[in-house]
Amino acid sequence: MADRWFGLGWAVLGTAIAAESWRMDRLEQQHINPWTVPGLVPGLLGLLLVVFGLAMTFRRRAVSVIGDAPAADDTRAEPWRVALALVLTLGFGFGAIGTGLPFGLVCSAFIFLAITLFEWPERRQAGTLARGVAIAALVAGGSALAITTVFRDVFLVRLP
Amino acid sequence: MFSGLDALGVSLVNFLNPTALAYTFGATVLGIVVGALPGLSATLAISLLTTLTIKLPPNDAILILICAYVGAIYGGSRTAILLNIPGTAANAAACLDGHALARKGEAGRAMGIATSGSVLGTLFGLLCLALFTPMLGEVALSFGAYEFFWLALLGVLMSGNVVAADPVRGWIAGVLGIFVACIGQDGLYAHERFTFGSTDLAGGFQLIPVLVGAFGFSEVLVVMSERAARPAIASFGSALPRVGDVLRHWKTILRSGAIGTGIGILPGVGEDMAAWSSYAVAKRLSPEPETFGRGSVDGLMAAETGDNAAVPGAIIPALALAIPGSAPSAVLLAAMIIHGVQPGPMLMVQNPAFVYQVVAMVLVATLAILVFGLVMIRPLLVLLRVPRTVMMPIIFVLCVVGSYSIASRLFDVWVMLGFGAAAFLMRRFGYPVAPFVLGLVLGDILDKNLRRALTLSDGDLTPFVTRPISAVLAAIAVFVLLSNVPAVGAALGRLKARVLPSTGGAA
Repeated sequence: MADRWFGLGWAVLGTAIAAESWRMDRLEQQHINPWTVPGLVPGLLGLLLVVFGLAMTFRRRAVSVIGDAPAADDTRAEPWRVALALVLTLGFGFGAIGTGLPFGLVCSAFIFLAITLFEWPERRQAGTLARGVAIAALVAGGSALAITTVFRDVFLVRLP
Repeated sequence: MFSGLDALGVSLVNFLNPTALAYTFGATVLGIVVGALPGLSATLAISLLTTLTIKLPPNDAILILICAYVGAIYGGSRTAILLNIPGTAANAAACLDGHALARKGEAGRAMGIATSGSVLGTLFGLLCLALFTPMLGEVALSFGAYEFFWLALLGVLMSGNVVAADPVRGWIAGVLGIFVACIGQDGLYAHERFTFGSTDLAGGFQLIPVLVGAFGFSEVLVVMSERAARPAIASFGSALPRVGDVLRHWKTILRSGAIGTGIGILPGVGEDMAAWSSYAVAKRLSPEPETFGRGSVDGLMAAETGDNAAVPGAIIPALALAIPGSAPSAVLLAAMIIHGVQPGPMLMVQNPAFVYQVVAMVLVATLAILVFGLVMIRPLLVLLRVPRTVMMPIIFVLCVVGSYSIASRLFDVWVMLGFGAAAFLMRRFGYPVAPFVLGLVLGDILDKNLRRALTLSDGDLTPFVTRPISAVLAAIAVFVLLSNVPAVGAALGRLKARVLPSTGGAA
């Protein structure tokens, strides 16, 4: 069922790309060869997306799919981990860096939060929360210092 | 021939200085570590290192990337043997017999077999790299826009066909990659496409932030979203490669080297398919096929020789045609272009020494994996015990800094985050990332060459299928597409069963 909706989604996206390519300037005032118009390849790609999307929608059986990353037996994606990973990383990338705060500080705060929160359930169960927090603080401080020093002073890179 | 040997000798001598040796050892160790850590791939190692080495001289930077590439494909065998988790996708075939040997208490021997197979496979591929790149470059001089269009399209189609469980998903990922490459100013008239007035988008998406996002950030998200138990590592004996294992399986080594290199050369197919194909052929030709999957030395040797032979194999088309053979070699190709090297048919005319420099780089990387394969077993085990919850946030910060460091633009960080999150979702829904990357790298070649070809033929499509090489490439592309249509696939299966009735079930 999901295949059908995805297929339709790709077909709609492909149509939008093809339509936008068709509307694209054909540079006629520059007298270019009509076979080299900028919208030609994106337009064809849009049509290909439509074909593949429709093939996905109308094929008889859904293909069982495994991800391209081989997963270990003992691993399984957990929704709260997915949400937390997205919130932390996107929050760090879009919200924290480039705001004027020192990069080392933001970096260590991110690493500390990530380690602490992801290890929270296991640490709480094992009764080692305080130890976990201390280790996270140590790792966060050390790695932030190492990353900022190496990039700024060794690779001579400006930090965000 | 002798001028080639001369150039190779000069290149090797140039690498015998403390700085180059330090880069070789450091990058190989890093590659082995990244390869051994489940979830982190060779493509991630090369993408991240490209950002870190951007200010180094070109030769040093490319040496580092090649060492990391060779090291990562080799390093993945360690976790395959010890934990039954392939460190990279290329080592999945090594799990079958490698871990079975480890369960029998022969983990050390399995690591020795993996080391000897990897070294010999890379050397075989290296020989082909030195011999065939100049030849292919010469042939490619006769290629026109038609042939390059088909090669680029074929790379994306084959990658989508091979990498994904569902080829349609793979092809969609590939088409999206080509489309993303079209965003920004077009290569012929600098006309802005799909920029919607954004000045940041006018320059198009920089390749490296997209790659760091697609392979680095998405892998960080995948690993962080999974709960993983700390690995229990089996005990092992000596990991010194045994001469007897090599001599007894010399046929497998030569055969798998040839298969691995051949598959590496095919555009967009990659190391994992090389390992599986070598493994399947070794099983089919083995007098003891029933031992495969139960600790067969032949099986492990075939898998590890095949995937490592594919590394130099994948570099051959990247150098001679600017068409990468695999996802990691696509990043390597992009890095070469960033450093001012222009791979393609003119490389052998304009800068022939570079090909032999690459050969020398792969050779020193091979020697480095032989050394570190033996001395790095215990330190690697310590690293494998570092929890992923500690490792992944640090890798993410490196992805951010690496993306920013290229042009000191926050936009590149946002691009990395956007493409990383998108790649994560794609992977969750079964869309592979490798064809997307191939599409991204080959998009510009496909776009320019299709339009050039149509200009040359004035819109006539017949040269696309009447020029000899073009016709062959077109036939392969059509075959790849049609073989996935159920009715055609069933007909091909019936034909195969009729032609090869006795070997049908052997693999």
